[in-house]
Parts: sequence; C-alpha cells; structure tokens
Amino acid sequence: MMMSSKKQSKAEEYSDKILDDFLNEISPEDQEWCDFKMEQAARIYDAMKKKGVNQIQFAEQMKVSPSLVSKWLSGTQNLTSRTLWQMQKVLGVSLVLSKDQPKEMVRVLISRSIPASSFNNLNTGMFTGITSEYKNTFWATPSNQLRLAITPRMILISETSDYGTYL
Amino acid sequence: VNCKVVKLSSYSGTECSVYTILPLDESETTFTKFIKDYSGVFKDEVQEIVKRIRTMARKTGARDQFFRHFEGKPGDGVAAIRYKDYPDEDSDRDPENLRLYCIRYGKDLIILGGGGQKKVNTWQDDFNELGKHVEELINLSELITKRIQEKDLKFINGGMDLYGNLIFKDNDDEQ
Repeated sequence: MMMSSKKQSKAEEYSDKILDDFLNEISPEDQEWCDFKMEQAARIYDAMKKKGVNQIQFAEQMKVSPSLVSKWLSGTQNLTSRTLWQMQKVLGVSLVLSKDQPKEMVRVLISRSIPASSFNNLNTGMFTGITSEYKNTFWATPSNQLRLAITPRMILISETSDYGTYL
Repeated sequence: VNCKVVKLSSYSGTECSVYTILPLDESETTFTKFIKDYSGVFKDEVQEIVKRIRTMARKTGARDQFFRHFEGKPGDGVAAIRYKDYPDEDSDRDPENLRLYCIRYGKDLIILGGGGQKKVNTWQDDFNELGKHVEELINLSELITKRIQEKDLKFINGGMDLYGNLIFKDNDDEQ
C-alpha cells in the first residue's frame, strides 16, 4: 500500500498492488470496446433528451419494452445495426462514427442522409473546411448542409441545424 | 463508520474522480476487498465493472444512466454500478448480477464502497452480503453531507475532488 503524507485537507491518494494489477490485466482493446458501448449509450441518451422523449416514450416509438431501453442506455449491450438504424430514424440523431472506420464506410453512411452534392467537398478529404479548434476538437463545415466535429477519437457528423449540440 | 475517504488516482480520469473507503483499522480499501473477494469466481464481471468505472472516469463522466439509483435513502446519492452480461440484446438468459455500491456526486465524483452478488430482490433481504455495504454508504453519505454543511468539507476542482476533513468516526460529532 502506498499513501501520500499530506494532511487532512486534500484527499490522500491511495494505490495498492491488487488494484493496480487488476487494472493492468484489462487489455486496451477490451477497454476500448467498453468505451465504445458506453459512449454510444451516452449519445443515445443525449439524443433522447434533445428530442424531449423519456424512456417510456422512446420505448413506445421503438416498439420495445421500457426495460429494454434501460438496458440500451446502460451501455452494456451489443446493439444490432438494425436497432441503431431504427434509433436514428426515431430520434433523428446524427451519424456517429469511429475515427478508425474506413473512409469508404463514412461515405456510404453519409450518402443515406446527405444530398449527393455534399460529397464533392468530402471526397477531397474528411478534414476539408476546418474552421476552428476547441478542446482538441476541430470544427469543420464541408458543405452548407453538413458540419463535422473531429475529436481525437470520433468524427461527429451533424446537419447544420444540429450544429454544436452533441458535444 | 470508522474510515478515511481516499482517492484512487489510477482509476480516476479527466471526467470523473474515483474515491473509495479505507477503514481506519485496516490496510485495504473496501474496493480492494471487493476485487479480491470476487475476481476469482466472477473475474469477468469484476473486470466489466472496473472497465465501466474507467470509461466513466476518462470518457463519459458518471452519468446517471450508468447507475442503478435509489439504493439508499432519498437524496443520499447511494447507487449501484452493476454489470449484467447481455450478449445479445434479445437474450433471455438470466445473467449474473454482480454489483458494486457507491455514492455518486453528479457526473464528477464517485466514492466506491463494497459490493457482491445480488441474490435477492432488495439489499435489505441480504444484510450480511450486500446490506452492510449499503448501510455503510448511507451512513457515510450523511456524515459527508453534514461536514459539507458545517464547512469542514467542500468540493473543489469543479466538483471533481473533496477538500477538508476526510476521516470519519462513529463519534463524529465530538471531532
């Protein structure tokens, strides 16, 4: 056990071998998967709040039980593509993609909701139209209909009217 | 309640600070004991709970959607971090239900207590296994609230840290 020796003002910092070893046993990949699921659940919850629907209303719109919505929001579940697609339709959320996903997939997903004319800018690179940087996030406006927030881990895509509401 | 509230720096992050309880007459925290006691039989479940704590600490903050609330008394912030393994969203399998109790102060700070496997409907029905951990946190939450009201304790760093007297004893009123 290791303790710092500061007085009863700032909290003492504690660590021990059991805690550290257990933490080190978790692989980065496993942690990233957990991060992904919980961040996805957080985005769903934020989209619900933005839309002004509670869990019961969301369950009705998704045609599922409220307990299933509760599971979705817990961030423990592996949601199917169909469920996510349906959520997008119900909530009108923007597409949220991992930065590591191939650009081809980015283009395909964007093409479902953005006019083809928007692609000209995007095809020259995802980072076209960067306008500002704030808290490690780049804000880009590649077209009049589309805005991007590019963080070190995520690319958040939103229509102009939704700009800035997801961070 | 004879304990010290300490910060787990290696488990804390930019989005949420993680604290736990160190009993004054013991050398291990309640969270250490939880890991020791359950990482044998329930290793996967304990790992999932720890991963969730790490994600909250570094990515999401301690959002209320990730907790089971109202485990204690109204307003005391006592909640449970639980992990139920739902491999598929439509799975009917009854999952293992391991839970770790904590006091949650918004998205910014959690104090981890003990926990265990939930075998009954309410912790009150299983006092030896789970109830003692909940009671400990209910009592600690009351004492922390009192300290804050008496200005012996306060939140700093935008709510992410506690500052003040973090040693709690049964005869707390006499301190």
